[in-house]
Amino acid sequence: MSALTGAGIEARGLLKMFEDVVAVAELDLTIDRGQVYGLIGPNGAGKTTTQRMLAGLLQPTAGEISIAGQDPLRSPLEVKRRVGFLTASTGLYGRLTPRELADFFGRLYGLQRAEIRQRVSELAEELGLEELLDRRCERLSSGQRQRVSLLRATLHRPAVLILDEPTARLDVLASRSVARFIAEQRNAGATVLLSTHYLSEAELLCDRVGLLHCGRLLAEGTPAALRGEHSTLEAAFLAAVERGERAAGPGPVVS
Amino acid sequence: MSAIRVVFFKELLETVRDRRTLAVMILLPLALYPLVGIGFSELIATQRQQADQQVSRVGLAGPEWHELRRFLLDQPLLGISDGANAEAIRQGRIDAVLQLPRRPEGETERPLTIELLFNASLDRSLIARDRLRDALKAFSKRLAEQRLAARRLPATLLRPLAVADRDLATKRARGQRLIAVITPTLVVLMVLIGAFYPAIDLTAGEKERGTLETLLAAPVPRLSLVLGKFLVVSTVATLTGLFNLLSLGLTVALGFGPAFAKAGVGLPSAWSFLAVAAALIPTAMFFSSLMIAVAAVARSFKEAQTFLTPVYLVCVVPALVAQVPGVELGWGTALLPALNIALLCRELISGQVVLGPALLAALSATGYALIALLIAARIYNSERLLFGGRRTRLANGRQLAPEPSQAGLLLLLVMAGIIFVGQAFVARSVIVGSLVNQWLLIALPTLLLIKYARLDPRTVLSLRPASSRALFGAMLAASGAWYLVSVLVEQLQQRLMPLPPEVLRQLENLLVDRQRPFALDVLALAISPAICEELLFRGVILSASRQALSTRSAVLLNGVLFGLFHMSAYRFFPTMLLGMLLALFVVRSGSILPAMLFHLLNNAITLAVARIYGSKTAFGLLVFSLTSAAVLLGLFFGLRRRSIGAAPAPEET
Repeated sequence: MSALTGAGIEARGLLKMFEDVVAVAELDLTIDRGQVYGLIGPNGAGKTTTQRMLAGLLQPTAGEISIAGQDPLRSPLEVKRRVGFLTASTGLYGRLTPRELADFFGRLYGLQRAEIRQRVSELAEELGLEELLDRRCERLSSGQRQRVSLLRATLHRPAVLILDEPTARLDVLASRSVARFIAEQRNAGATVLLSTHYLSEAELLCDRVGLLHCGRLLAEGTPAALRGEHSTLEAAFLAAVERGERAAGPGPVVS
Repeated sequence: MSAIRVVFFKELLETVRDRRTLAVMILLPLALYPLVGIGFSELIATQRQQADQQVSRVGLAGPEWHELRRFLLDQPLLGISDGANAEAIRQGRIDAVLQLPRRPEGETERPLTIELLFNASLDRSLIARDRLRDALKAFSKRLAEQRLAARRLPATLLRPLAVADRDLATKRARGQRLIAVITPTLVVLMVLIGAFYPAIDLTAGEKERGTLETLLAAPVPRLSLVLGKFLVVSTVATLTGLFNLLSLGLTVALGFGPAFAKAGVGLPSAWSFLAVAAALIPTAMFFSSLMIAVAAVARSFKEAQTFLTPVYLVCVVPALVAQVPGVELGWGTALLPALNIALLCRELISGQVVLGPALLAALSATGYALIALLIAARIYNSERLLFGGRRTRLANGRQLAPEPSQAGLLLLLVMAGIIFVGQAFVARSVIVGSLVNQWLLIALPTLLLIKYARLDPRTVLSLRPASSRALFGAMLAASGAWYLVSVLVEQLQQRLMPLPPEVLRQLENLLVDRQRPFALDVLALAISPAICEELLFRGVILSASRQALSTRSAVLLNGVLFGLFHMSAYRFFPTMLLGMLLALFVVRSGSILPAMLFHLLNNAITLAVARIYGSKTAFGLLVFSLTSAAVLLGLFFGLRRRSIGAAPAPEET
């Protein structure tokens, strides 16, 4: 792992193949500590696969990874302890209340009961969940669920947050409160990697953005730099896709 | 350890909050036995009472026999009438008829036969028969005594020997024997029901609800997750079994106690129930781990139900076998999964435990549970099973592979068709039967599934050109495989499970008929199976199982299913091996053509050799060496991996 420098999230030559289909093609990624990085791309671009590899859920076919200085291949549990992972579906246990859910995950992450209690009340206040802590998750709205998921993902004060489409399926108000929470996490020093379809959101939230298409990183930079001469990030993205396709020809695709 | 405990308590809390589980675990047993048991016994008692009080309608036919008539009229519950015949019984107007014999004048001591007509399909008629038998026996005895008295001989002359029964079994032992017959089946059934829903809910259910990924992202070893889940399913299954046992015990004690006492049968001791309660633990462990391993493969609750239902049915069979008299817990049966547990329960209740086999049964059940658990843990390490990762649809909406449940259903349908329809054709003509089986009962449903499930035929059936190397390899291997199969596999088969000469003769007659043109044989028994069976097995079934399993497991399963499909224990091993080999050709070449070629040549050569030399011909070392070399070389060429990207990935959305 000598090539890696110990940034918040770092990947070199990250390759993932399912059978003989390439899902992620030799991706290089460096996200500094305390930075919010947005992975943008259409369905099937390889965003989720990349995030799952970084969170230690999938084994890369090839390449090196470092998460907060740790290698998920060598010490997967160590890496998982430092990562807060939010899946695309909220992934809540419907028959548990947010408090019970937090208690369960807190203990899996090695927190003491008192510590869990304290974190739950802190985060519930931040996320506006105080009234909902003892209601079963199956009875919550999708916005409330997403906030409970964020509580779950940040309970153990992770150094790295990996969020798979954190604002998908949310209304404007709910997505704004999620965006505010992500910004607070960054301000508190967390490294955040989020994936999204919403380019405007990426532009607002992210320090840097990567355009992913067909498993390849087509372009990378600050939102302003990427937009360049284009009027919006969306136009820049479409142009990059076109350029990329011309250069590489049609490649194998997987979600 | 603490992670297992945390997972255990969380899963338990969730499971207990699931009303389905609670209903199956507590409410069902508490209501089932009292309702069914007592209600049923009352119904039987009422019916029996009615039958006991009902007068049997008996007709007397034939020459008049006053003495007998008077005797029968004196009997309670027999209503005698004249002129009845067999027709009256059939019409249900009368229950039984006594056809009296003609008695020769003077010669009164010749033995006579009275015909008793009855209808064994009617309870009333059976009761009448028994009453008449008893009455006639008594009448016959009275006649004999009269005759002896006429000769001044003592009546005891008729009974030179008397038998006095002395049953050493206590009342309790008799009761235990009775209960021991039904309890193991119930216990296994209830533990299975108890494990069924939690096993699905905690594995496939979790996958469907999207919580699995979150759980896997937590810093917990996957084995701990599986163990935590396993402990919950086992606990629920054990508790279900326990509640059932308790409810059954109370129902028997309170509801049947008096009836048992009347019949001279005592209730089993509380100890035997406790012993069975203890045996519940390995039972629950075994079935829970098995169900978790199977359900973990499924992607959704519904799919898991489809997978687990056959497992459930297969597990019930040993429980039923344990009821068969003569099947006992020995060193051999102690090793058979599921049966060992059912037998252990039976012996524990009947109080006749042989320590060695009982311990072995408990140990082997625990061992099997561990194996199933390790398999489940492996599944939790399989990226494909947890996250999928393959595309399943083309741009035109066609599916790239059938659902495993679709393929399973197709196979069952095809097998049912062959059993109920195809075999009738085969019995008339092997050629016509085989053609009907292959084209109408195998290929047609397979193609219909592809059409109506909107499957992509090219991908599902691996309809791609094969490399000449793969085709050459298949041809070479097939040119020798027939002999290796007949020498090696069949020798092994003869040792393990010898083919009865009759079956062998039938098989030969079926395959070798020198009156038939050989071309017809090849068409029906080589070309047709090579196309139709391959479409089903190496097409639909292989692509469906590769959805859910690793390639290696899919190939193994393909062989096992192909072996089972031939529906003969004697042909299982050779056909299983053949199936695996054919699947391997498809997997490695990416095309179904080498498998079809191999299948065609293998069958055709076997037919030709059988026709020329007879089916049990041993050739010398030369043929053995040549065929072995051909097979080895063929496999070497045919099964080499194609390079990645040789077959372009289908265009995807």
